[in-house]
Amino acid sequence: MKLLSIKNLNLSKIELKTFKLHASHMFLEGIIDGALILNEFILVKGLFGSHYQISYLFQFSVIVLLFSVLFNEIVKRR
Amino acid sequence: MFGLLLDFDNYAFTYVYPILSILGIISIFLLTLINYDTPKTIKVSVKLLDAIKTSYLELITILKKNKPYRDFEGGFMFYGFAWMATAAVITIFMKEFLNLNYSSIAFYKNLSNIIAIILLPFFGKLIGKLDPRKFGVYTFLSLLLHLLFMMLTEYMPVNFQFFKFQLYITLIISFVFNGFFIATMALLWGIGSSYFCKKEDAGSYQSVHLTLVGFRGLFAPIVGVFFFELFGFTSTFGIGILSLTIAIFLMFWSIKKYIL
Repeated sequence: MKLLSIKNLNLSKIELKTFKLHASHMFLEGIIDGALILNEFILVKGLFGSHYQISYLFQFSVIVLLFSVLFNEIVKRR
Repeated sequence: MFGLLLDFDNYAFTYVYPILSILGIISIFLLTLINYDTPKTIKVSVKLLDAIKTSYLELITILKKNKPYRDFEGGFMFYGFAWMATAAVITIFMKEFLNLNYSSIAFYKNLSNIIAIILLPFFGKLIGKLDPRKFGVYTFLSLLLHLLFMMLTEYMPVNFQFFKFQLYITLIISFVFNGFFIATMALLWGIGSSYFCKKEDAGSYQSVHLTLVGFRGLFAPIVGVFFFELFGFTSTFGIGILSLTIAIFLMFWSIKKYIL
């Protein structure tokens, strides 16, 4: 357990604060991602989605990456 | 747990999803509390459309000039097509052919993720020691085996009931390989591109990678369902396996032809 202690990392105050915030963020993200694992199955079992609707659900999550260049340029101009 | 809840109440997602959305907002808010020094940027007055055009031209230039990276992304195109085309079909297979309940599906998915968590430190060390194209071979091979054993489940549906879980032997093996795939792909997708360029170009190379992911997302998922409706499960999984085989051969060919 000593190996897992944050104190052994010798972090500064800012680093410790960042670590705690990021760890909390990742904890919540883990809960969300874990629940969303069943997303497509909920569509097909609970909402009686068609085969193509399952593919659209998956597709929307990756198509947004095509606009990553556009979003990056917009954010740079703020 | 969510799988067990859904088996108890099929519409549990109607109150769980709003809770998840609140957790998501809190999670992003926590990130905004992190202090950081804003890098000083020189404002250049370039029109938005011109800047976007330049970015896409840079994408084409990178792929033309950096041949090992071009082959890496070429392999990723074949892998990505296989993965996206079969993702929806796997969902249909587990629901319509195997008729699994939510708890069983959650069991298989959790099995993969637990294996991935255990293997990540090992693969994290390995990726630094290998040519990323060779590491890609392991990634694509693990997905290929995941699809192969998924396909075999159709012909060898040996299974047993354990409490609420319906366990198919070949499906367990399939999701073990999926765990290997998740562990290796998490690293390769996130940092694989940076091994082909200088530190200062890592952002540009990763944006090339992301754009190509979006590009194959335009057609691959729909093509997968289209193949399934025409030819059935075996042929769709077979097309995925073939695409991954091409990706693996492309990686080996590139390693021999271009040394990093």
